Amino acid sequence: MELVRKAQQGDILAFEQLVFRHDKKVLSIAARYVTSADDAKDIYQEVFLRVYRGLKKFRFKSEFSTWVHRITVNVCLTQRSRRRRTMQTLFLDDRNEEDSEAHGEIRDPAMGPDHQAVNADISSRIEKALGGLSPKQKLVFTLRHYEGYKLNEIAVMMNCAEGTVKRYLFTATRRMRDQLKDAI
Amino acid sequence: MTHDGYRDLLFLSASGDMDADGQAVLERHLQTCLRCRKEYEDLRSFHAALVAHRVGIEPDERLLAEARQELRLALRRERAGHPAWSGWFNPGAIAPLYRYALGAAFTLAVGFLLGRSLFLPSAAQETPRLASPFPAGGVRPEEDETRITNVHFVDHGRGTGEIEFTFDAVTPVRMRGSIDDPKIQKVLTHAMLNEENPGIRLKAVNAINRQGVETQDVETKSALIKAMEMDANVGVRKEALNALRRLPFDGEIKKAMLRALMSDSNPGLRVAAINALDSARTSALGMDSDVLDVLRQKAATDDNNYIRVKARAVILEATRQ
Repeated sequence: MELVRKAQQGDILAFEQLVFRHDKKVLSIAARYVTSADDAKDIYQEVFLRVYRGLKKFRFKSEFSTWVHRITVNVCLTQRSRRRRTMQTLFLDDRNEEDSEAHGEIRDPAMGPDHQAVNADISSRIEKALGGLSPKQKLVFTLRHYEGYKLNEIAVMMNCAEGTVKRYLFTATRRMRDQLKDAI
Repeated sequence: MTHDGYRDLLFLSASGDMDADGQAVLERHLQTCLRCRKEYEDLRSFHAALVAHRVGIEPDERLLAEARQELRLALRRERAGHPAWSGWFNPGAIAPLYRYALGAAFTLAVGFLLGRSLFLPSAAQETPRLASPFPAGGVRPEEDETRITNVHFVDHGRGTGEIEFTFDAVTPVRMRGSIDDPKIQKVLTHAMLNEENPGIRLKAVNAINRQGVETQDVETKSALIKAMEMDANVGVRKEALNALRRLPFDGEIKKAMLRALMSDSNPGLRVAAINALDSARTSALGMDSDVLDVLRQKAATDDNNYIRVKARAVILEATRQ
């Protein structure tokens, strides 16, 4: 709280420390939600610029982390790819080797080439199915399954009722199962 | 409970969102209902397969470092007063139809402005000259002439016999004097912060640095700090940092050095900031916890290996004493 107050008074060092405390979560959410590193970085930057601009209006009515996560959710939901290559990287098939190695998609060397190919195909189909969901369904789905947030935590982040989150997740899961029934 | 009710419970349990009471109710039902048990197993294996095949980008350290670096630059632009989105405008991202429409609108606008400037009489074209009212002394007009531009009529004087207009009177001025002269410093600090040409900004900082401003003039110090933190040109930032090192080390300069160390994109400048903080160890402020905290952070997270090593060495030296 002291750090937030210092940052509100214009202390840029305090602001940077706040960024360092919360940015891993923000980047993680962004990176799971989009499929290109550039878009993830765009979301990250937009979140912290909004935090920076809105910091003086923060009134401690919620946890600072909750506020940052709410902004993250809003930015994800309104995000439009600013970088053209995003459309080309929507599906894993189109990703080049260099990009995937650069951003941590390290494949298990113990896994045979056939197994790797099957896994890549399944991941590709999951991403394609995710791309067919509405932004809210997709966000709830990735927050729950890939980021491990509980339904009540997602409800706080999205500023809606837990029942609404449950409905998004239920619909998303049903649609994903339909899409992936012959894959997994 | 109906089958639909149990389906909700199945879904919650498979995704790990069921409380203990609900789980007990569901398990009792699963012992007697084959259809629900099959559905439950399918759902669980579906969730397990999803988690096994992660999607999106892995948010690794490299991506985090890149994101932080880009954020620093965006924040710098934000603090300098330029909106961060100005760098994001990407004509390529505009849909083709809109691109043509925007192109046509832009051509029309350029045509209109060209026509206006060619065919409308402009007061600025005349550029009449006036004798300058500048006083004698260290400051004198370059050619004893003032250039008049941008004449704008407020009142054409119909009926009253009086007219009213505004204009810009630009007079080239030559100044000569000591670097400690407040008037000279004022002009230099103005040039340092406002000149568009980075060469001029660098010369202004150089002039202050070369002569060494002994006085603790608040405005000069504040201008140097602004130049060090916000100038787009790294040469200007470095020269401003060097000039600040010649001033007595105080809390304001310490904070500025810490901000430069935390945020500057140039490793050379970050190293210079560490050196400045290190050499100020013997000052009254010494190496306090603020400095040590930032150095520890840099020792752990800076992208540049040399800076990490340097920060560690300074911490070691400071804590040994």
